[in-house]
Amino acid sequence: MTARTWVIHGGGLAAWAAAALLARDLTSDHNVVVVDDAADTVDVVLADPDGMLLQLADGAADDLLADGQAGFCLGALWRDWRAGKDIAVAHQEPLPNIDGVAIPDLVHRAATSATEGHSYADLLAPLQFQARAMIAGHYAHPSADRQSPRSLLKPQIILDGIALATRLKAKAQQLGVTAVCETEAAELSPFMTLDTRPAAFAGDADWRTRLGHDRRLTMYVRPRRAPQPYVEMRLLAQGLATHVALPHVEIVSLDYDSALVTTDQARSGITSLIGETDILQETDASSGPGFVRTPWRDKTLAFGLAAARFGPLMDGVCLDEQLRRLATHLPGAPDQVSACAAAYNQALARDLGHRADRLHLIRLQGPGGERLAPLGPDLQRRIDLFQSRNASVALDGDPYDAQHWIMLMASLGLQARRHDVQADRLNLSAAMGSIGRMVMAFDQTLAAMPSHETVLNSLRRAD
Amino acid sequence: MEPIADPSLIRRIVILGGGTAGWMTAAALSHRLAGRGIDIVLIESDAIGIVGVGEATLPHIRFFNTAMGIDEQTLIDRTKATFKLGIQFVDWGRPGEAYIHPFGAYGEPIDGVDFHHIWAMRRAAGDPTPLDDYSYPVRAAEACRFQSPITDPASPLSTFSYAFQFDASLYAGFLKEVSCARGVVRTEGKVVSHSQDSETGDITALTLEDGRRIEGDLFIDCSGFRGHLIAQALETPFDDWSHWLPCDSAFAVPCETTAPVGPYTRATARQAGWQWRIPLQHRTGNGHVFSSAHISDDAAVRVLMSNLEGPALAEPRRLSFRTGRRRQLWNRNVVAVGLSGGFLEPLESTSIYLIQLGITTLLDLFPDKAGMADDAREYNAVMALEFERIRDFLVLHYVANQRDEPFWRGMRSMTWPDSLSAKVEAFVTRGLLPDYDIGVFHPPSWLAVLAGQNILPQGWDPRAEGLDAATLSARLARLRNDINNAVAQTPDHMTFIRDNALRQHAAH
Repeated sequence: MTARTWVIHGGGLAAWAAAALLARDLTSDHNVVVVDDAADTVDVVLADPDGMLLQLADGAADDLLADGQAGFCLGALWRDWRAGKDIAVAHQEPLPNIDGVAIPDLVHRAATSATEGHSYADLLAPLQFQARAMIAGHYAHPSADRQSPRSLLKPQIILDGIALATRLKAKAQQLGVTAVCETEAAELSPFMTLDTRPAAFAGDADWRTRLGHDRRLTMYVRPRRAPQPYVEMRLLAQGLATHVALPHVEIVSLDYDSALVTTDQARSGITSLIGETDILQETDASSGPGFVRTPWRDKTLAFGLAAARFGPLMDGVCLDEQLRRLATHLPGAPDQVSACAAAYNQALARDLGHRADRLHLIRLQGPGGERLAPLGPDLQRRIDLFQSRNASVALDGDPYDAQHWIMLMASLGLQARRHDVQADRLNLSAAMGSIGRMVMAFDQTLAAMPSHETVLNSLRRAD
Repeated sequence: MEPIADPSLIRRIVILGGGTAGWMTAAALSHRLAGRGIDIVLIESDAIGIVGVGEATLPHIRFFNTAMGIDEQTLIDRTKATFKLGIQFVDWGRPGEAYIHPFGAYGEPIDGVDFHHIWAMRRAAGDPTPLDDYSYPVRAAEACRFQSPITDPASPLSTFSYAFQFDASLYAGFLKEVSCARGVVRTEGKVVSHSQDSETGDITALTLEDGRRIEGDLFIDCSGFRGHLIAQALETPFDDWSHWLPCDSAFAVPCETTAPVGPYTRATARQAGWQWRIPLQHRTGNGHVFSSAHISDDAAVRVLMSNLEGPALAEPRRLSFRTGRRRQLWNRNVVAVGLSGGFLEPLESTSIYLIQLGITTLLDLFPDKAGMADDAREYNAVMALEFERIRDFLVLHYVANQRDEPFWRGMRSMTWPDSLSAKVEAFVTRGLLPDYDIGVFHPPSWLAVLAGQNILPQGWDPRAEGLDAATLSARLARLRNDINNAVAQTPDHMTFIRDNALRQHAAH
């Protein structure tokens, strides 16, 4: 049988991850080549520990942690985001119900019943265990014991994207993937083509107006502070800054609108944030955000940053999701391509749409949000339902649970007019007593958790 | 708890109709809204019969009953219930063939590859093992055996769920007792007129034949097919789906039980429709659903009566219906629950499921007067999607036939819903099953019907081909063996019902 050749354009993280996946999962009648001609620029990768990226890289997380090129991430800390307050966004496992009633509804009832005191968001804050651990700079692995507050944790690994791409390239080549030049590739008759080159992105321009930037300046700088278990976000005059501190390097980027801000101004924005320091590496690239609703057309699949790009907070998870969907929608023969493409496109668009909406929601509720383009229909429906009754809309393919959406909207200052009537049938004092005991358990567990830096140091390879 | 003095709160709910939908609604609302100072009134008339043939359920009914505070053993005793592991479809693909749509999974994923891909690949290579050999609930149902599932994930006994087959009239009667004990006020009477707010159009009161006036803030229309409030009063448009689901009539009749009572419902295809058989503890429910354009009433009755397994216990009762749903199941301050909101024929036991979904969604979105429009919009969006996905699943049974009668040839050649065509094509070309979170029927259900009616994948996940053949053979043999052993150790269905009842009663 003639080998079916998969040609992958681009030589960065997405290309080598896809190559490793295809080489691992397809039989010997498929052949994978990479045209290593335009590396993508995924500088920071947030990846699920059980996700496809780390699976493919076979132990890379442990190695990168040992080498100081990775850390743990519990969420994002949006500095000075609402009325001068920081907003911690963490996706923890949902809290259990109390007698069939969701805890946020009980808390809302308590907040609205109180004659004075705390707001709904203030009362919810102590229940956000993962966010609290993150702010405190603590870290521990999730516990399998459902009684432990640590069972609520859903950490990600935060990695240096360039280091991870190097690992994946080695893995792919070990599995038989070869790199070819453009001329050699032109002579091939590909069964499928994956294009990971950022320049191939033909996404929805709408997202540029929703998120307000089209370019990203990134600097790798010598580390000056302890690695934190979060990604730090801050809106500067020049654009949105993202700051990640790993043991061996700090990576700072600025998403900016090139119509309003020059590269020099962007650079001075980053400098104002981190001060004068040794810059190890700098890149400045077009990075209009958005995603392609139909990334797979016929025998061509836009992949990685060519399909979806939302910046350091999301690029890694979006790639992970693309890899997961590709693995379950691989065509084995030409007549399967169309069905695989349709199913893949639908599943991916759902997932990415929800993730992008979440980012849009955070941006809209932050400084300068009024200047951004308005909501899409799903996000509007979510906000309407929350404001009407402290509930979340159930939608296909949503990677976030209802409680996450509710807590996020509350912490972003949206007001829920009422709560689930079920909350009114419980004795409020007794229910709040249970919630109080839960918070005490959270406090005790947090106090006993080591710092993120301590955990990372324990994993470091001896120099 | 003291009632909260907020004028925007719902203070009085009026449920119109006392069949299965009405009393399920009353039982659920009276339990879940207890202590809120809400009066619940149910109006029913002894002069108006109830449909009451929705005797087969889906596993979700268990969670609904639990949420209503109803003990399972009490329910089984009071409704003469039997257990249900799935639905057997006889003669739907080719005459002479049968399959069971089980409440459970087939096999297990192997190295990340869903089981049906592996089965399809091996089948194409000549392995004749039927898919059913990898399903505990199918094999247990066929053997007329039943036991409750266990939680050990290594055991086939953890791979299924179960529902009930019960006497719907007894169920409604039982829930009536429960509801009235919880404070629901039953009002005997026939509604002759209604009053509407001149500004909002909301229903404000119903007037009974004897002149009594029943006021309410929220009205639940459980008046059956006639849709007294949602259709007649508010003239809510109806989306007619009879071009996709053309059966429009049924005859129902109970008979004595003579055969062993299997833990499954049976749906047998007939020349212009299909016949159900639902075995209960004390009798068997039967019905013939048919297209009146293709068979006369007399002939339909003959088909039904000549295919009973025991002597009939009553005269056949005729039902007429139109498949489809109200465009808004919640319109102004009226929520249609049950047949008043729509009907999708009982082929996959979705009638009671849709009632239950309507009630739980209403509770999730329980309104106040100020936000009712928002709640209604969300309710209608949720219910519309559910109806459409069930519709596609039901249509699949009809279009995927290889029968030769005019009715069935017509079903094959009709224009499918686009959403269904795409699903079937994806399955045939690459073994891809529908992938959604919202909806009652998930991939194993689609697989059961597609494969059961001879729509088989011509392609599969290529990762299946990378699995080691010898290891795979051993693993599949072990799976089959584990299922066979589990079935062999499972008690007889009726023995389980009796012994379980004795155990439960002794424990109490």
